[in-house]
Amino acid sequence: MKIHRLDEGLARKIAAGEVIERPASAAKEILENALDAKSETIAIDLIDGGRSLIAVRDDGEGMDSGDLRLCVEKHATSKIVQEADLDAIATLGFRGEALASIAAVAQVRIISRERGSDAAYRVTSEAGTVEGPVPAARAPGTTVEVRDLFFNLPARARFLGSARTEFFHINRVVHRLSLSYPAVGFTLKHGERAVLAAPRAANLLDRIGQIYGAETARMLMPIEEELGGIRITGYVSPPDLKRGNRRDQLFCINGRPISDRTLSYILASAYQGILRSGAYPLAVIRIDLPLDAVDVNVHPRKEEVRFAEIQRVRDALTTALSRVLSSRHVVSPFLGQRSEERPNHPLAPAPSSLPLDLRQAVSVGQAEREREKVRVESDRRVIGQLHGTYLLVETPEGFEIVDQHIAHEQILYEKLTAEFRHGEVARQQLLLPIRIELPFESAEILIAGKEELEKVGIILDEFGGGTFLLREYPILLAEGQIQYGFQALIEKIVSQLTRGEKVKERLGESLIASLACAAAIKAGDRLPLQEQQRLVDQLMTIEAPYTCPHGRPIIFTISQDELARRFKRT
Amino acid sequence: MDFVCMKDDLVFGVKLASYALGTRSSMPILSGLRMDIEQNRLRLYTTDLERAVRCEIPVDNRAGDETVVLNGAVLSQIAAHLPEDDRISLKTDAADGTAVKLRCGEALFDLPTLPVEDYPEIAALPPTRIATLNVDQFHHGLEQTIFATLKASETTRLALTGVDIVLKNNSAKMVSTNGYRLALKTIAAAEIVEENEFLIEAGILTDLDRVLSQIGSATVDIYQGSGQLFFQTGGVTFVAKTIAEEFPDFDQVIPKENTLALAFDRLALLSTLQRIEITAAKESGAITLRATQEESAVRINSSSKDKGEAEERVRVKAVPTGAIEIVFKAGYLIDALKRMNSAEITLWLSTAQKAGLIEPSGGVIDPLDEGVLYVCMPVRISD
Repeated sequence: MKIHRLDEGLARKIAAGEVIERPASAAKEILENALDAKSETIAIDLIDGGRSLIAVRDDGEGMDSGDLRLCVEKHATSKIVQEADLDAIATLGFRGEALASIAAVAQVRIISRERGSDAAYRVTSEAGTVEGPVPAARAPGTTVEVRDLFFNLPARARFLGSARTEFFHINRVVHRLSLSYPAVGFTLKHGERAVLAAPRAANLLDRIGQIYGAETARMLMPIEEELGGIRITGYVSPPDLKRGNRRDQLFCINGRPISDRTLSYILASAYQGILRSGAYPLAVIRIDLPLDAVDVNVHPRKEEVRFAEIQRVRDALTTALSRVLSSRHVVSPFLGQRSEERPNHPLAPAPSSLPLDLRQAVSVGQAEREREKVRVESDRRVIGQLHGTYLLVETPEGFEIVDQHIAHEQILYEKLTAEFRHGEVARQQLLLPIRIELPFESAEILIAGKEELEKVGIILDEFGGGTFLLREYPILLAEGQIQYGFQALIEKIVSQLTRGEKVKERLGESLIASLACAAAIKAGDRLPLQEQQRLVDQLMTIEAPYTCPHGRPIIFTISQDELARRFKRT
Repeated sequence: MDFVCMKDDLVFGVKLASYALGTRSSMPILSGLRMDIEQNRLRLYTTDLERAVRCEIPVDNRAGDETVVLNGAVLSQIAAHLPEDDRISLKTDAADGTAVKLRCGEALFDLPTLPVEDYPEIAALPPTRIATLNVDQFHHGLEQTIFATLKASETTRLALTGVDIVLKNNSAKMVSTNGYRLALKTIAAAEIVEENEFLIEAGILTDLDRVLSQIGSATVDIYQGSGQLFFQTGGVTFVAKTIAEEFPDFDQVIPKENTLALAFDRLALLSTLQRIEITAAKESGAITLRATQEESAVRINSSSKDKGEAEERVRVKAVPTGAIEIVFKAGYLIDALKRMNSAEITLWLSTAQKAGLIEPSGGVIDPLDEGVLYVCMPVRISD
């Protein structure tokens, strides 16, 4: 018998708490048990986002009939015996309260057969009343079934999200644990739908490929560092593979997936100057350090840890990241510098800092001629571009500074919204559909949001395994967007759809705002004078030229009076 | 260094070399024009690391072999404003070689040199030639494909900024696409020694085209280096960096089963499209083509809330064999028609959801249009 009741004093010292908040927290506890039992494969079945059923089958060590009876009792665990054990926790679970907490709020059935034993037993528990163990049939390993979570706590049940939301959370748990344990095979089914099939992987990279797609895995850069007893391994993304949020960043401390602000911050700092703000790297980082150098008993859901010497961890991680990010993988001189080098618009007035040469003499001449050709349709005459970001405009009343990105965003937003409201968004078909790869949880959200996307003119075909083919895109934005790519945008849309349940009536407009922002001319894009003028003229024809859909100002005005005052002309 | 050469030779060399002068402020040495004097030849060399130009001119060398780097932009300007005189001389001035005296007629320039050791290594011409192309045909090929690339200064879709050149079966195929339309031109190659495929950025090809047009040779030899292609003709070498990205499988997007052929007078269709585009919505530029089995004409129309509506009938050579209503971005059709030369073209269609294909047709196809083909995806408004 391995399971025993904890001594009461010890039980109190454990930072317990409400561990079961939603199906995902129940699933997490059960999965951690399966991993602690050294399972090789784990199968998870969900019904109704885990609200009706969470079933986890493993092929781990299993339990004998005595353990089985105890495992649903509070503070019953096989993992620690005395207080000193808390200083060196090597298992995922340790408090001995998980199954008991679940058993208190759901109908639980556990069937287990200990490895090397011929007999399997079953216990059932409903609202804390335990029945069994009685003999049952099963191969070595354990099955835990949790039905009707919170059936006896209707108030709590009401606060659960939709099946999709709850599934999303469980999927994320599975996803994080499977990346932490590549050698363990995971399958996940939601209803009849097989969502994840990740057979036992030879290494972390193969597992990443199973989760994020082979193409993504191929692009990742390995990191490896050992400094002061701390070993850092894993993979991070190159600059051209980025995400719209931190969801695809995983830190795994001695095999335990955790969230840690300091580690996230170190990662973000390492990418500063490499990624624009709002873009996040994809990262799966494993940190192995002595068990006594980290305290895992600080958070009820065990998702946070405390490092004995955070500075050492910081040093090791920073070194590991800067080594890979400063290497030649990241910026190839040809690809990295070409954009700033040579404006592709043949008519763009050459930046004045460039030395003169024959070509330049030609292009300056063209610019001069171009200036004469620019038709001014409104009473606003564009004088030029400031830092490739703002347009300087002369008006009868004074002058204006226009933010080119926000101006263009607002024009696109208004036009697309008008088409959207009439239910006739014109879509340009792509010559070759563009492949979008998403992690499973995002893919599910995208599939569910397909109809919303079609209304705004995005036609995607699901290709299975988190792969989508983008076939059509709103024609208003099609040319603008293709130069920036679609992957990051679709990821951003996924996070909007995730939040979208609450703002359904405004979802279309909010999606359009994102699409317009993504396709609009960016700050830093050099524009020919003719285009600058066209942008300002167009801005004056729309309904709301002064603020963008996000509420940022577009135009900053200085009157002639103000100018005169500044120069003390009055 | 001390040499005299014909003014026209040097002016020509400097002009060609200026096409690859670097302007990158982070690497000032690239603004230099490198001069290697070896016996009675002067080699001029420039590079911005994406492209390079090397050319040779004859000189009367009065000292030993030497290399100097001069400010290329300054030299270009001087070359454009030299006084009337046949000859020009260059001579190292200071004892330590930090300045060069350039004399032409009564004009004398004292030019500081840039550090030779900073100048990037020059890749040698690879030993094996892989193909030879006819310069004229190559020029027309570029003209009929470069326009269809993505013209973005900052894009992550590098494959869409270039023209893919496929050397195969004694021909060179040039293909470009912006993801929504595709231009393809096949020219007969003078010789293909080794079949291969390369993707080169449109801007570099435009410069190559300009350099080739000034040299005036009939053919250009192509050599393959590592990550680079060398184009050599008439003593001038243009080195183009290739894009290390796979070009989309273009063959698969060329529609093969077109059921409906609409043969137009090219200029008539072009001018109609240009008129109808006026009332199309500004960003989308969507225009609708309607063909029926009732008349030998296609109706083209557009409308937008703020600009109004327009419709026009354009004659087709024969009554269509089927009816169709299909929407295109006018600009995409106009782009292609403008770059063709034949009197007649045929727009091949199958359904409103499938790509349209334009190719020159009729009894007489303009020789400049041989092997040209254009594919354009339609626009969809409702299901």
